[in-house]
Amino acid sequence: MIQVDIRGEQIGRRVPVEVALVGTVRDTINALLPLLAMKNDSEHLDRMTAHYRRARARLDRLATERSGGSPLHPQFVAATIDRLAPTTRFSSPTSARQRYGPPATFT
Amino acid sequence: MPLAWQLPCTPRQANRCLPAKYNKNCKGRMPGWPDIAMPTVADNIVATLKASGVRRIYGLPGDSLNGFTDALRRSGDIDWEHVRHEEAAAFAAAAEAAITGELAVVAASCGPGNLHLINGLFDANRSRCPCSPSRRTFRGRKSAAATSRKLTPKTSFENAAFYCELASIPEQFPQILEIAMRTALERRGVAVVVVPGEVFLAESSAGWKVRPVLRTESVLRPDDRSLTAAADVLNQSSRVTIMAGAGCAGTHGELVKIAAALKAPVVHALRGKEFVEYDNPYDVGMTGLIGFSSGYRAMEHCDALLMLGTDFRTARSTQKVSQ
Repeated sequence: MIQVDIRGEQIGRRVPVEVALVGTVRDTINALLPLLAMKNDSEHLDRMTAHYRRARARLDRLATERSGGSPLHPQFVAATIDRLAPTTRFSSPTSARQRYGPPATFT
Repeated sequence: MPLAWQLPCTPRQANRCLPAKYNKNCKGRMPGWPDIAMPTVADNIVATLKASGVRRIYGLPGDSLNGFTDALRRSGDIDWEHVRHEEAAAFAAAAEAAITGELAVVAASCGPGNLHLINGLFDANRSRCPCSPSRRTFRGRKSAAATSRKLTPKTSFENAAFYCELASIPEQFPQILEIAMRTALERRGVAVVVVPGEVFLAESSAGWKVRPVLRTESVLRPDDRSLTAAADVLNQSSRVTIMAGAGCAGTHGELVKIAAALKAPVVHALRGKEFVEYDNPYDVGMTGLIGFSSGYRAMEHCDALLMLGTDFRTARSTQKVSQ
């Protein structure tokens, strides 16, 4: 485990860290890059991105319309707003109850 | 007499509250009375804020804050963003600081006025954590709260701020204000200045030279030995995963470069989402309290985890990796 943070006191607060690096992310990456050997084996990356695509597809399916008068899924509402008004910003007060509460229904 | 209660500070009130040398200025601040040459403490606060690039102040006027809002009105340089509840002011200022990276200011009057700030200030102070150099999310705050009879704002705000000080006489002001602004900028958190209403109206001390307090930019990187140690770990690992947080703000290009060099999937924390996810072929989603499976999996299956600018509070899922 290697942790980079601009504040040294943040390092290792949650998990044990093997190498602690104090610096900004940008300056540290720029200094670290010349020391890294370019990796050619992308098996780990490919497996994880493939898993991500599957997980993403499952999440996206939640945002589709269902028939039969079932309650609207919150993801469907958000995706519809996003499709109809892609550049508009909406804000609403959120709380744990609103976030995890029962899905909204049209009456 | 109802009108008198709405005035900033009647001469009689001022006479009761302050030694004689501070009184003369109060007259000059009353509507219809002639202005006098010496700036008040409130005038100099406004001038310092303006010189430091502050463009607006959020708050709810009235009561002990009137000396300050009147100085704002007379100067006309800084916008007053009126809210109906101080909590909204504190959240708005926190949002401004997060977006602009500059000092944001909120002001509240005594009693419930300044206590209403507290939720917003706690939020601002907590979310500051990791930041990058180019677009820092300073959660700077200077709260001109006034003392009330029973409340002691200094103790109320100590847990929500990196700096909290009562300026009880005008001579303390230049130092306390500058320390507060500098602390808010450098620690990217909340600084609170508590000001009794009368002090706003008092004549400022002669030695007060108005100076800007501006954010700083630095290049900051680990030494060569630390970098070599990190490079050794990364070069010897075959399955590196990157966990990126809000500290990656403004470093999207560098992040993608290092992910490409390491062939590393990039997981993000909630506050890193806006800086990490877009246009990133190495993105594998979010982890944490409201994250999802692929982020967790990428960390579970790695043999080296590189954490970049993230506090990562829900660290349970990395326990396996770290052993």
